[in-house]
Amino acid sequence: MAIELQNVTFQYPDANITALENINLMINKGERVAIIGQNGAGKSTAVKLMNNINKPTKGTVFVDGVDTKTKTTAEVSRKVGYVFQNPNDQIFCDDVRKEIRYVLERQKMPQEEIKKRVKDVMELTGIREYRNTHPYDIPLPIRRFLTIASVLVTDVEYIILDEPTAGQDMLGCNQLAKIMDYITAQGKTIITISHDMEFVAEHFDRVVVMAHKNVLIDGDKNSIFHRYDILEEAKVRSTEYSLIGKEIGIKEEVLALEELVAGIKKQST
Amino acid sequence: MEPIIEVKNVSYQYPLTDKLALDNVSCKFKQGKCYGIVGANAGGKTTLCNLIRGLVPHFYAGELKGDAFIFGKDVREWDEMKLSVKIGYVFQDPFAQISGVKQTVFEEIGIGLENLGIEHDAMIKKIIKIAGLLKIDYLFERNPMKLSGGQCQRVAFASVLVLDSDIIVIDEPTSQLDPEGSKEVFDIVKQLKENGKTVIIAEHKIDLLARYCDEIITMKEGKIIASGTTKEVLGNIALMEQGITVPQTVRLADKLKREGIVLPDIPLTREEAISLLKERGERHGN
Amino acid sequence: MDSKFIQQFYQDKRGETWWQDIDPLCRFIMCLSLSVATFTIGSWQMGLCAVIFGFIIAGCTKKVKFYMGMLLLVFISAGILGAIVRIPPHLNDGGAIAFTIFGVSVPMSALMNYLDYLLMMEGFAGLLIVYFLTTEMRDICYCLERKGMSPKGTFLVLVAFSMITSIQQKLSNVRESQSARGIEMEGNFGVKVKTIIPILFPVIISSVTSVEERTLAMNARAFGASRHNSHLRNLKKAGALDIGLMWICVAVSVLLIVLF
Repeated sequence: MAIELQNVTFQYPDANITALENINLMINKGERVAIIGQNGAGKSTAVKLMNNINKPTKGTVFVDGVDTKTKTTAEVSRKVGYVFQNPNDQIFCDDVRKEIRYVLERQKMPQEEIKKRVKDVMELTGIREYRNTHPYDIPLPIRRFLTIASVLVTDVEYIILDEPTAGQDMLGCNQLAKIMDYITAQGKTIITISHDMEFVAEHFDRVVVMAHKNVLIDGDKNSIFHRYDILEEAKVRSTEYSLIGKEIGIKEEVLALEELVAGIKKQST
Repeated sequence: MEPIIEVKNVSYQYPLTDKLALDNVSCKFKQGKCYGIVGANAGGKTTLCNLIRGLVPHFYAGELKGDAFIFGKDVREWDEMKLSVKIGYVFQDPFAQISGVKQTVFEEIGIGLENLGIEHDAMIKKIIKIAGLLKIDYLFERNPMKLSGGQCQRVAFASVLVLDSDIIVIDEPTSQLDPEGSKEVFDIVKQLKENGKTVIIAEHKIDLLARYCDEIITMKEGKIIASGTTKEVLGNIALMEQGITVPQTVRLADKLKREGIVLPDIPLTREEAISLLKERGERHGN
Repeated sequence: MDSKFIQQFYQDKRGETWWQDIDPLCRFIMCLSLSVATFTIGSWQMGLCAVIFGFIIAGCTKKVKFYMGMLLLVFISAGILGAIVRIPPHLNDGGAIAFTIFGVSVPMSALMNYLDYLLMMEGFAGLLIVYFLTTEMRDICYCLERKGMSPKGTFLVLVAFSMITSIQQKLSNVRESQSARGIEMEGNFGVKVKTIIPILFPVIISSVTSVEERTLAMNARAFGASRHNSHLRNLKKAGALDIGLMWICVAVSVLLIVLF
């Protein structure tokens, strides 16, 4: 059970631009994977291939063993949910509850089931107080939680979060972490695109670095965040604590605050 | 130095809402300084920016109590058009700032200059200069409606910067940008400051604010809970209890202190932290 | 050294074809005068000439497909309306019978009356259609501003027209995101219509509500700060040829009306 990109090349049809070149990537069920890289590296393009919004120009994308070319976007999206970077692209109902219910009603789910799912997902995403509000009257960062709720309510197996921490404050990031813990506890897969290295280091086990229209390196976060040469090539940075640890000569691998403090203490003795 | 913006005991409520967006807020802004406004979402940052820019009360009705003076004149008495020229404003949502009436990014950046009746050749020079600064000259021929979030954000920033306002208010300019892009924006902010402009930024990226801002205002539930120099405000770990992040280096210093390792100063940036830790290491003969 | 793209802003914009090189306002008066003449004269011959003239312009500007598409829409609506208003009053006219349909004999005079109406509508609408197909709204607004219309007014016109693109774009984004939420959007024409209808109205409303944000953004760009805007893109001023062509069309139209 996995999402697999096999020798995939992608060209935007109306612009004749190659966004991805012969990329190979496999994401197994239950994993937490963060995709990092500079703007324009191909991150969003790659994840949109995973739920069939983008169709590969060459190569194949498999979702749980099924070639996505044989399915429509909607069919694949029932397994692979995508939370758009711009919530305004996703929202069109005039009320938060209606927005969340919309897809379930189109699927002709029983009303009792819909009511329960909507209530649970609003609690999980912390937007219950806005349930009767017009989506455009709620702040943009909280609108993001509405779009997450709208995808989670459909019970997908894989969830793609495109820049979930953009514009979020401390409480928002904590809420996001809570949501992700819930998703992982359900045995589901989380794939994120993020520029927030501290958030990635804290919440994701595996990091895929993208650059030059391909995957540059792929591995566990500890090994990736200490490959400073590769990170520089991809024009991304490691975590703040890792960079401090490197500069002051701490030999052990440092990602988080506790590790840096432990390293400094050891240096002092 | 006299403040160019002075907010005195301002309370404000948006129409049809039952909560105060600003609750007895007082603050001052001086020329040529960079101010960071931080706080949880819905804490009043954007409303304070709207007040400084005069959108409250000219665009958003609602009840405004207290006084706000821009260049010595009450904001209520300012002509809205004149204020829009004096104070540039970059909004939070980059996509909503694209006019939809221009077919190229080049023309999109120039809209404000056209509105001001700036001479033709001077307009072209200004656009080229600002686009070069923000590294978006490669986007000149692109359709503004077909840009990515990060590109939109830079184009929106450029189209306000090109007006050369004395004060620039920026609401979360880097939310869609990668770290390199964010740093570039803040480098421009630094340049603006060096050119005598006053910059007011509402942001969540505390580490960048710590590096570039002279003063910080922290807001929560419409109130200012702390204000002062960047060091005074962001160097105080107690802010975390109020739901406001402090720079990672401040958290590091605090944690080290609790482990018995006291640094001579609280570092606000990575460079300061490295320097202090190395000095300490040398003193202890490591 | 400025790029080729920037260099073009230092020169007045010229039209890509001879037709588009004529001043937009002059062109409008040319098309309007000829279409008024077509409407007033009301004969199938005049209508046909107008349609042919429209085809010539569409051909030169590579808009034939769009022009024909629009003419077809006019043909259908005018055809149905004409069948209701022009044929029944003439069914009892004497003279040769053109054809019989469902047992009803349609005289030649009724048919000719119908054709006059149909081709008049095609010609009248066709000339205005070809004008708007070959002229950018921003060029029209530029010329109106040059004649003294307020920049605020022209901006509002442009924004109203850009709403169409904005709604199309939003519709496309929403369809993509609905597809990404598991709602089937792909399929035959019937499936597409069925999926668009529930989202069309909310999309239009949300596009309209985003006007507030756009207003604020324009406010931040000194909208309305000056009575006289300048322009990055300038069109060449109407020359003697443009004005001459315009007056010729007006004169021809008046002459045709008088004669016929």
